[in-house]
Amino acid sequence: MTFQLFGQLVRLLMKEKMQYRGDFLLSAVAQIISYAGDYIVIYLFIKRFDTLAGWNWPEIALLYSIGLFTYALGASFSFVQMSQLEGQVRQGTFDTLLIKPVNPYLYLVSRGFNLAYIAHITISGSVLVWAMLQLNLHWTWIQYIYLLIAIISGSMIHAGIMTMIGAMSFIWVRSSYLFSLFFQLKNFISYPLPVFGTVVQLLLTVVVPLGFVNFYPAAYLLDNDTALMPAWAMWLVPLAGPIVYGLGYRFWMFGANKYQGAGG
Amino acid sequence: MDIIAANHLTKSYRQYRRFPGLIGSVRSLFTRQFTEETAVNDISFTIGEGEAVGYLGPNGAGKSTMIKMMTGILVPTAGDIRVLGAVPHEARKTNARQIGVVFGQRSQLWWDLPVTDSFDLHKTIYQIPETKFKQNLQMCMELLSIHEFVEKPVRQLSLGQRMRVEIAMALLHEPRILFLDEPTIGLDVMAKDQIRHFLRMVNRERKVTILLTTHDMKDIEEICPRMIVVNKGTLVYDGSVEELRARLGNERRVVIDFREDPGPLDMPGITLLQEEGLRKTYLVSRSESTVFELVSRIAARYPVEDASIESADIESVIRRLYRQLADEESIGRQIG
Repeated sequence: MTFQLFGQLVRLLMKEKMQYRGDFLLSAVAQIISYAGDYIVIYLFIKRFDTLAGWNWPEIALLYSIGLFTYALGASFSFVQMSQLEGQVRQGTFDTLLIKPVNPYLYLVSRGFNLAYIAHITISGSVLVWAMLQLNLHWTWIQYIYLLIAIISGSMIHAGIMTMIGAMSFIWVRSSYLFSLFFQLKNFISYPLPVFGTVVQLLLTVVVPLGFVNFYPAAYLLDNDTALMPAWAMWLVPLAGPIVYGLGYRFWMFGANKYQGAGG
Repeated sequence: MDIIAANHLTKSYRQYRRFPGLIGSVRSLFTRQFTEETAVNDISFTIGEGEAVGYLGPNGAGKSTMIKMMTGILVPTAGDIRVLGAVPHEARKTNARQIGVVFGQRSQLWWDLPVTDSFDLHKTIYQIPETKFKQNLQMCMELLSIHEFVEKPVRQLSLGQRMRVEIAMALLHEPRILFLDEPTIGLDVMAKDQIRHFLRMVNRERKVTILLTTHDMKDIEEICPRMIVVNKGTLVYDGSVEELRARLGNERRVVIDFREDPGPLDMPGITLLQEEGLRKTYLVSRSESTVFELVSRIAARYPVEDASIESADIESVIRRLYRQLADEESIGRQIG
């Protein structure tokens, strides 16, 4: 797997998408409208209370935008690839991946690189910038770099979890119900963690560490309360992504091995 | 040197028991009851460089499983397999550069893009040098007449055109072995012919070792001097096509049109197979006398209008082999 190969794959994927330009644009617009709806719902909700667990509207907008932005980045490398893996395993098309002189995971992920997430990126990126302007932040360059790292790390958390779910296709053949479970959990991180009880907070910190995607970095950046975790939890943010993604990759390779019959 | 060597190779799948209903699906997660199904059972053979071997057997005989083990997709349960001197699943990536694989029913092409794009991508994946790539592409495109549709999106190609493209692509990186899993399935006669001629040339002139599975005996006849027959996971025949024909093909069918019904024929060594009015089909075992002699003897005694002798084509030879295997099995079951 080389950059040259990845570049060529992206070129072909763009060419492929352009075959159905209208369809692509229409679905992008539909996505943007649907997420704009989500923003509006949260906005109306907050308006009634002014703040939610001490977070005002622009702060929540920032929190939600980091969540959506990182989801889009992570999902472009994992969602369709992993949710379709189940079918590929059942129909045997997964085999064609194993006869190529490349790492099967990297090839699968790049071959399915999904340009459609440009819609999510556009809307969440715009709202993120708007929220940062509204909040009148006086950040040093350290905080900007921290935000960048948090975004990369958050994307890796999303991609890592979806990779793990995809790997279930090798073991249980069916994995789709786990995806709906994941999306349910992902809904929680639209709001600051202290809104929920301790159980949910623990769940999203320790079991499925989606809290590290947006809540902990945003709480640090905005100097808000970090709930269960002490303030130094922010330093776990850059680590959480690589750890979750690394585990996801290992688990996926373990699953692929099992599929081949080497895992016993 | 043997390019492929299988030594007491076995592959069995575990089929976990599933329980019906919602409670059942939860139960399936915890109780791990399974039945073991043996797809390949203690098979040994070797294939030399440059050979062309047909691997056949009825559906479910374990042909695809065998190809998957040779290409490194699956790991054997027991026994030993070596391809190009290495264990395929361990040397999966290095072996991949030296083998070509065509799955008749699983396309590796980009559905919505012109054929050329799939070729170009293959070049990058296999890191084929420019001049070598151009040469091989030129050769394949010419011999498989791909020129006419190379700029068309794959979805607009006929099945025959698509299969030609799949085969061409599998050869672009100059593999030493070409594996084909049912390459002619669903194709028309013309497309089959072209593919057979091409594969024959690839094997004879370019010295690429070929191993193919098929249900079409003509594929074997035209491409593979040697065949391996498997049934229910076990190897039942490994040898030349002629030998099998000699072993099993000592019977021929004779169709005779009579002018009037002769009644039962009083002739040794023939059995009536089928009767359609005055046209009767007989089975003649050749050991008794030559078929021609027998027919002329019938013609001398009975009112024969016309007679034709059907040669034992490989298809009927194989059919006989399968039937014989099934018979042996039912006898075995009766005794056991």
